[in-house]
Amino acid sequence: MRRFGEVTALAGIDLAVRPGEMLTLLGPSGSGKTTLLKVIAGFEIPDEGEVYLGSRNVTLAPPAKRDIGMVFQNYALFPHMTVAENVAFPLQMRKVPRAECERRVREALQLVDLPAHGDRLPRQLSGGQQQRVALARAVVFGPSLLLLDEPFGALDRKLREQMQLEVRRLQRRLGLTAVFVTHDQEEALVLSDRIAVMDAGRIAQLGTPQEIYRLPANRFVAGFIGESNLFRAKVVAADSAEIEGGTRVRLPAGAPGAGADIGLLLRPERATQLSAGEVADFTIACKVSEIVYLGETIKYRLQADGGLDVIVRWPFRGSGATLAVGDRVTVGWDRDDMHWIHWS
Amino acid sequence: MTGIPDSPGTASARAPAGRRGWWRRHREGAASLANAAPAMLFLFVLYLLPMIMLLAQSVEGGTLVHYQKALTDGLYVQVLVDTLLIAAYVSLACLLLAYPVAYFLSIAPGWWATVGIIFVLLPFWTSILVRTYGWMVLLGRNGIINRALLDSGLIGAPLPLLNNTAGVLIGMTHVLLPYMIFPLYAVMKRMDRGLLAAAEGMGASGWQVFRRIYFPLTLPGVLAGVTLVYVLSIGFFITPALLGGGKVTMVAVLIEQQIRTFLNWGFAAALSAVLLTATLLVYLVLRRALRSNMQWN
Amino acid sequence: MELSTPARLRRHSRRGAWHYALYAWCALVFIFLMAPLVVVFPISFSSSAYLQFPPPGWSLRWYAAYVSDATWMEATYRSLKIAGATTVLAMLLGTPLSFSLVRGRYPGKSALNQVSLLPLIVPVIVYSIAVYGLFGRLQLIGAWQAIVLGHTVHAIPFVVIIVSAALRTFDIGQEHAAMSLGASRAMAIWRVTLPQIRPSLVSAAFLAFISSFDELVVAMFLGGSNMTLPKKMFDNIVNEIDPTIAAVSVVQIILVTAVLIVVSKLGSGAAPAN
Repeated sequence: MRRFGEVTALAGIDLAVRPGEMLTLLGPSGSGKTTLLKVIAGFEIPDEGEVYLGSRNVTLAPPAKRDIGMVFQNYALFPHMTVAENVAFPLQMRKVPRAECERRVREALQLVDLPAHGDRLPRQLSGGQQQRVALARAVVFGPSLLLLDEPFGALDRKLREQMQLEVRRLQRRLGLTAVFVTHDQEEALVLSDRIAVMDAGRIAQLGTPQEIYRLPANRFVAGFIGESNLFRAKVVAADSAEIEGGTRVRLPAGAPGAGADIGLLLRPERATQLSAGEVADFTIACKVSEIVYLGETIKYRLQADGGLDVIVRWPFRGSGATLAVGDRVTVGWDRDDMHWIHWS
Repeated sequence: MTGIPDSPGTASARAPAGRRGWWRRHREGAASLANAAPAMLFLFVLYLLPMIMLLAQSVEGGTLVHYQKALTDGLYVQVLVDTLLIAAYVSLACLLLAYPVAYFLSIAPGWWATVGIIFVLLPFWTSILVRTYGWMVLLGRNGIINRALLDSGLIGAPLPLLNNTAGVLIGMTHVLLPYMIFPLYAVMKRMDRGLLAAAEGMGASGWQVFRRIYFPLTLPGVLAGVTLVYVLSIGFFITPALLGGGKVTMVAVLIEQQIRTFLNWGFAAALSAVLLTATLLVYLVLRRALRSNMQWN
Repeated sequence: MELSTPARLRRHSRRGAWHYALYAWCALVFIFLMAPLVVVFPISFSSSAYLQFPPPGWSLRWYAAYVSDATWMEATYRSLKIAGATTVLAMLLGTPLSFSLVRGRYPGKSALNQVSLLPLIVPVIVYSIAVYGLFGRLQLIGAWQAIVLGHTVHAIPFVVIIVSAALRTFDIGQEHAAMSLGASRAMAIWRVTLPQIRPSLVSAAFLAFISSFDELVVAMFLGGSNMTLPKKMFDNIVNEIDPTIAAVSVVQIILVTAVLIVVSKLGSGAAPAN
């Protein structure tokens, strides 16, 4: 537990990273993900609790003795040293003999595709290249854990996607165990083996990207990851619930008993437009109230006749009829397209 | 909790548990204090201690007679008043001279700004003694200025520019002018010029823009500069001693005399206490004004 | 708009007039600032022993007088020695203090900060007689080391202000990076932090040096009969002996200019990239 004045920045964190996996700490700013990273790296000492690296208790070990490679938000390359000197720094700190040091620096720069840039200064490199140098510097000494603190924030979208794949490839190739911090859910879904969604100093959910997206554990995760329709509902019978406004729906399997206050989550792409004769577990007639073109998909805000507001997203097929504001449309979904969570 | 895997290449963070690493947790704080310790010890022994000893001498024997003399004797009160007045004149003169110059430096294109800043920095870095000597050459009875004025027939007899208050004011203004220019320049350089354009766009005249927008925004710089110049002025010694020719007595000169000539430690200490109080008072008042002014900045 | 054109034109020409007034004012102020520095040059090359302008003839006799006079040379040497020692001491004390004041988290920090800056505000004359009283009791008057101690008190605030400012803008992430890469804190500061704030360290040292080299009042009280250069100059001015002081002044102005150029070069060459 780490307290800053009255605020408890982390509480009840219980997290184990598996060997060779990329685990992402995902959360909004202030959720404690950066503090947790600092605790792991050794820049903050927890008021309570312990940190293990393998079987070694490093709770009180200084950062230098933890054998953790770290890539910082702004890369933190040393501006007064060349690229090669930057990469050699951790080896020098470990008193690696000169010849071996040079060899490993060469290899590391090769690994990140910058074999000819050793003599440059960091400021002479592009953002993406600086990122690679930071990566090379963080892995050159064979750390047992790699920490990545929002490393792609400063890159433009295209470069960011490219670097994400590259980091992932490198991490797999070297078999590195990595902890990655980001507030960008898309990035987390792309990169991670597992994601720990953080909220107010706690882990709100830990799971694979699929689990997190499809089966969010609570309202926070449901709201934070992806877009969703979340209907508040009351369970009225063994397998049916009443959504606010009086609409009845059949519940997915495993729902709690009558009287429970639940939320029903529907991803916008899971609802389908029904033509006459098609059936679904749940069908509603709506009117289109808003349209947003998103490129490959179009997002519609629909106003159901019962008063319910539903957002749907369907692929955009260029040709064919598209809907216009005011059009009437029937949408439906099966009960397993929905996912229930406890409301509170 | 997935359990703590025992193989290397894994990390886990768990909380809460009991262990306390008091030392590791407080090591940084201890190191910080250790960093400050030598300098603080130095300043205490060589700065605070002698000052306290001096101030103690002003009330030695349990009497306030020295303070009574300093604050009621007409002669000394006059010196105090003169000192505060001279400091005020110097501050005003510096402000009037510095404001346009700082403005010029903040808007001048590259080369001009560099040259201008050099013209401010060079005197700033030059010894006060050199500069005072330069003023004696310029202002003396047979100095360059009087010679030029006499030769041109503008005046019939040399102007008394040296060994009087005028000389002291000129010399002090010269020494302290950079202290006024720098804070003003800093504020003006940071100013968002879009604000001025916006005000003009709303129909304000040039004078209105200055009075309603520009000047209020530079006020923190004005206050900082005035504080600095005033506080430094009231303790000035070298310039009044040399350019005043013994006719202009400021408190610092008086203190020096009391020690060097009369060995009157008690009175010198009392005068020091008065000077110190005045300095700190001005400093605190103006700093407060500065603070409240910075709040919206 | 047709109608507004005359008004606008008039306004622009009025602004032009304002700008000419501004330039003229600035020119006068710059002349005011530079005049006392400039006038010592011709005086220093004068052949006359009296303050005469323009000089009746030219010579280097006052430079010769400065260099050949043992008391001038001793005073110069003493001042250089004192300023050098003051610089070293002030940097050794002030730099760690700055780290503590910027990075430390402990009660009483702001009070420490105030104390370390106090010498800038307290009139020099007050401090001078205070330390004169203390050193008089300890029989240290006349020792050059005593002046070093007094000057260091005044040099520490300069070091603290400049180094603290540099540390405040320095990205602590750089140090964290070095530590995560295996450096101890001390090693991180030595290899990463100090090289990057080098321009500020150079400026701080320069300021400390000049503040001591030019200082008169403390040296006047603590120096006894061992005069520093400013004390020697002061006496020379008071007694109006001869224009040797002009030659000394020229040497000082040229030295300061040279050092300013060197410092600005060192400063810009080592500026951090971000």
